[in-house]
Amino acid sequence: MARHRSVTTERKSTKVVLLGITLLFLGLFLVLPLAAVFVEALRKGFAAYLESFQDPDARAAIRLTLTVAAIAVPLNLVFGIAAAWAVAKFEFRGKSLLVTLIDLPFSVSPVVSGLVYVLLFGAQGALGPWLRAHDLQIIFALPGLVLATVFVTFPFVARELIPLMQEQGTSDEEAALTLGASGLRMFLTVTLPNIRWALLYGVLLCNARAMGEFGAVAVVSGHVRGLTTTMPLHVEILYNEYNFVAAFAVASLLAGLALVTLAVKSALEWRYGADIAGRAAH
Amino acid sequence: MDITVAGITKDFGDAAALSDVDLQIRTGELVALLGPSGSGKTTLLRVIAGLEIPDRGRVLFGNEDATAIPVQQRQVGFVFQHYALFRHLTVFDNIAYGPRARPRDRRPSEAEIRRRTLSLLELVQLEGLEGRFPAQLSGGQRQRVALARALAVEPRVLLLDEPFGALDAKVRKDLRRWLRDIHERTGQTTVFVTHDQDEALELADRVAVLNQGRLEQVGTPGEIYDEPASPFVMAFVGDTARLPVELRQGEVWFGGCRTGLRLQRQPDGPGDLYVRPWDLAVVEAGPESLRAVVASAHRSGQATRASMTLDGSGIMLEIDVPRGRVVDRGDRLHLALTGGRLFQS
Repeated sequence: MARHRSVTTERKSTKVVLLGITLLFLGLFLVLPLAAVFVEALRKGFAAYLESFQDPDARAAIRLTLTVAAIAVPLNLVFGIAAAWAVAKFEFRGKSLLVTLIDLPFSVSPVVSGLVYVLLFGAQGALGPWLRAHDLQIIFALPGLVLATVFVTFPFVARELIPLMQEQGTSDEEAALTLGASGLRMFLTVTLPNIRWALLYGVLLCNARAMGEFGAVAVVSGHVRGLTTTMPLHVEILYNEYNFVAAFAVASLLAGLALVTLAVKSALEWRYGADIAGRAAH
Repeated sequence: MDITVAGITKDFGDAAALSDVDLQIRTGELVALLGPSGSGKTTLLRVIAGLEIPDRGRVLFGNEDATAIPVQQRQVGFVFQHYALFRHLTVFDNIAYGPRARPRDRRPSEAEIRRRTLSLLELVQLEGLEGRFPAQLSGGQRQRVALARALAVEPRVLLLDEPFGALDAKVRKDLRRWLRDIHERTGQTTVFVTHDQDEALELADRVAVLNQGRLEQVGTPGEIYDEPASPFVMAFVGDTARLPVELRQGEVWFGGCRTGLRLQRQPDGPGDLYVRPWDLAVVEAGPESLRAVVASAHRSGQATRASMTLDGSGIMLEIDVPRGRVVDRGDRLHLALTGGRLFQS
């Protein structure tokens, strides 16, 4: 069979050059640093690596990170579904403004979002005196960390769901209603199954960011060791103390989380790509 | 179940609206809502279903005022234009969705649901496909699943939105006949929306023609076709040409000449004569004949249709060319008016 060359197919040399540049970049900026994390973590052997996790401060940091994610992710799950539902299924004034606002955390520096909370809830902040009078601590405590994390991660679920739900329209829901389903039953048996994979996808990305967030959390944390340091903050503290093995050990956990997220994400895309992107699955 | 629509008005700002629509649908009837896009036909269907709330007016099911009954309790079967099948459920679970969604005290047993679902599958001729998912069905099969799902709630009225819109011509024709058949077997009161006049006239007992949110005419297909109540209906249900004419002592004058066509019981004066292709005959030249040039000719099945341009006025009209006669572009013919409908201008 004759080999056909399509007009958009480049010469072989062009292909090699493009591929080479891409691989070089990936290697230099992605694979090398990632490998370095694990190499550094294991520099003094596996025992020393494991020992890093025996440190009570490290354990506290891991626990805190899990706690923050466990609160922030479900909050954004609920918010994301509510926002996507409102945008996709209703017509109202200011809809495009709402969509823009949802994207705000993507465009604002995380440090700024952290600062906003300090200005609002901190001791010198607008609500500071009132909070102190009622003995409520938000900044330099768990609530502040959760707030900052929620702010930074709230576009993830909504962003995944909005295009999908817009594409699916409302006729499935209307069909369920004409068949006599209550609002709750309609949501559980029709809406949720229609968006389940995109929802899982969004939650996954949201979770990865919630656990890895540094900037916003750094501002509101106050760096109280063993109390308000999450894993990324703990890594920084250890590193500044020249405790490289321990720093890279904790960092390796975060890197591992990223790899797992990537793997699950790819698996989801491969298996349910059409359901996630909102293309009709016929 | 008799359905009465009384004085329904619905505004969407600038989008399609309904203004003061009255319509009676009798038990067991198959009614078509016919109109161009934007005429409000789908809105009217959704108002009957309870998917749209009218601004004014009432919807009666029998003697019961259904206007305030929410869609879930209205017990209507609605078939959506693109079927809206639940893609994550099998054919069986799609059809069983309605019965299973009923409140516990009125819900049939699972065995009863199974029996009914299988008999509905038989009705729509999809036996054996209950385990398939919607994505594994053809367009026509999906349409039938949607119909079975709507019938499963034992609806008081069955409502179909452009039921054949998304199907190709052959499947369309088969399904049309099949829907008529199902309607005759179940006696289900049915309303369907279409923009295709052939579909409406072939399938429905009565046709309601809508234009810009207003009801133009309601009648049997024969009445709609033979006695259109307005120029709009006349033009919408078939090929027509409009000739500006004048009626003098019962005779139609066109372009200052007599045409030999006499219309009874019409007052004299200027008006528009709407003519269908068979209201014109090809004749020998005469004092009352119209002269025209063939602009194009095409075969449709056995018949030949020719587009003609009238001398002088340049009006385009279509005629049926008699069998055995060959016409070509540029041929000159003489035409006689043999019929038409006059609307006073």
